[in-house]
Amino acid sequence: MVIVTMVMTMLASFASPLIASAATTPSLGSAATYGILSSTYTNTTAGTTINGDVGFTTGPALLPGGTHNNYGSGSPYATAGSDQANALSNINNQACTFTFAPGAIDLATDTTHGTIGVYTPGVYCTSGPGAASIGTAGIILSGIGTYIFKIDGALTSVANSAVTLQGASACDVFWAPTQATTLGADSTFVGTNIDASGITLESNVGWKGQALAFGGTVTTVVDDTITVPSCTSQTPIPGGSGTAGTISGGCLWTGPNPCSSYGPQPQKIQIAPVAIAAVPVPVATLPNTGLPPDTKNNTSSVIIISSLSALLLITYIVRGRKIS
Amino acid sequence: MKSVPNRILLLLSLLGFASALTIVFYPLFKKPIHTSVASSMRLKIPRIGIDAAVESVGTSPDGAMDVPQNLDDVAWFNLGPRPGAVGSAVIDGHSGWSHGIPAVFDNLYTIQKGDTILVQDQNGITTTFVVRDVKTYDPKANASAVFTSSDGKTHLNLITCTGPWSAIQKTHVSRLVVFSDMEK
Repeated sequence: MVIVTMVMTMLASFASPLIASAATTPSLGSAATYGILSSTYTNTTAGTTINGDVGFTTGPALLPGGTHNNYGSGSPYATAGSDQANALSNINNQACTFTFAPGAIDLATDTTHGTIGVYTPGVYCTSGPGAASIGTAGIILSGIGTYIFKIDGALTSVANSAVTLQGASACDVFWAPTQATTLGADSTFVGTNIDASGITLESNVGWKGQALAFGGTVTTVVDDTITVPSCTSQTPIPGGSGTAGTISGGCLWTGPNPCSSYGPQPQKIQIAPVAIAAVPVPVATLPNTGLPPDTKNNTSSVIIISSLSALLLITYIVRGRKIS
Repeated sequence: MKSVPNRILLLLSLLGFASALTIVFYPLFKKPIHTSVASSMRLKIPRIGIDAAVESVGTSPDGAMDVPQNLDDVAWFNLGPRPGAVGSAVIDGHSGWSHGIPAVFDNLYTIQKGDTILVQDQNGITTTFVVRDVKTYDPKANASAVFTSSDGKTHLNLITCTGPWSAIQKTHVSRLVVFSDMEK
């Protein structure tokens, strides 16, 4: 019995790292709080809600609804951009656990990877190059673990399609297309999409995740909703706060990304207080908000013209009476 | 006047009245520029009757803070903190008149120390600021005190134009800046 237990323990100790190495959740660092991270964010119609930070240098004509602790290019916008690049590098370095046949692929109808429409944790790659689409039937992400879709082309979802979680966490789903992303109207999407080529949401898209396009453009059309999932243990320094000044001492999670739903438990260490510097707010020159005075009104012109007209009319009437 | 025929007198008179009516009513038919854009954030200064939608702007090509598209709106400088966040949030608005209607900040010069400024965010939450100071600046002056602060507190600064109009520079000669602090 003791021998059997030892063998099972050894097998478990070997099996666990093998499973974990299939796909691991990358750290998003400062980008983890952003619903939208972009260089240009376009939003021209009311009704869109972003529950999370919104980062950009060129902002939208219309403010989105929702709660954002950070909006615009203030800290930690620049750091979040670096962290987005680091996360993408991590994803690109992960080996594919399944590679689709060369060419475009519809994830909803493909049967080469396993059960049609159902995906288990792993790193899925297109090749060829090959764009990926999510058809009307949608897909299901089934089981606890990390899902990574490395797409050598564009990512699209058709109208009314859905990505559904079945035991998976939105914190552990990642999309990395090399060309632009377009999500169809009334579709449902899940996960973190890192795509500096641009991300466009047609109308009424529901998205639990993050649109990370630092260096590119994110466009929302109307009635779209992006909600950043709650991955609380991914916060790098629990207990710390503030965008400038000194962060009080707290606990720093180390080891594998604690947002990942499986794998070794993270370790906790105590850190000393650290000072962080604020990203300076750009100083513009003062705006020219005045209107030229000649547009104020034309009351005097109206009075003068009316008086002259009245004088001419009276002269006309008096002459008419004399003639008669 | 005696040599002018009666018909010409009547014609000139009618043309005059028509011109006066055109001047008065033309703005009503022209595309309105006072139309407000839909926005979920609002700025209110109750004592001087300001209640405006807040647009979002960055900088213009010459490096100046941009201005709102509509004369009835104000604009928040989106490269700085949001109103209610630590630092100096900045909002500007037009002053002057257009077609007999005053722009949103035309009477901002009447604001006084101690007046209350309210900013209602997209969730309906209102942050209250109290006016601390009112200053005038040269348009080209160093504006770092307007856009930045290092005291770790929450400020809101309002900007509009003031002073005589310079026909050469195509702008008013000064800028009015209202400094306010978030109410504790």
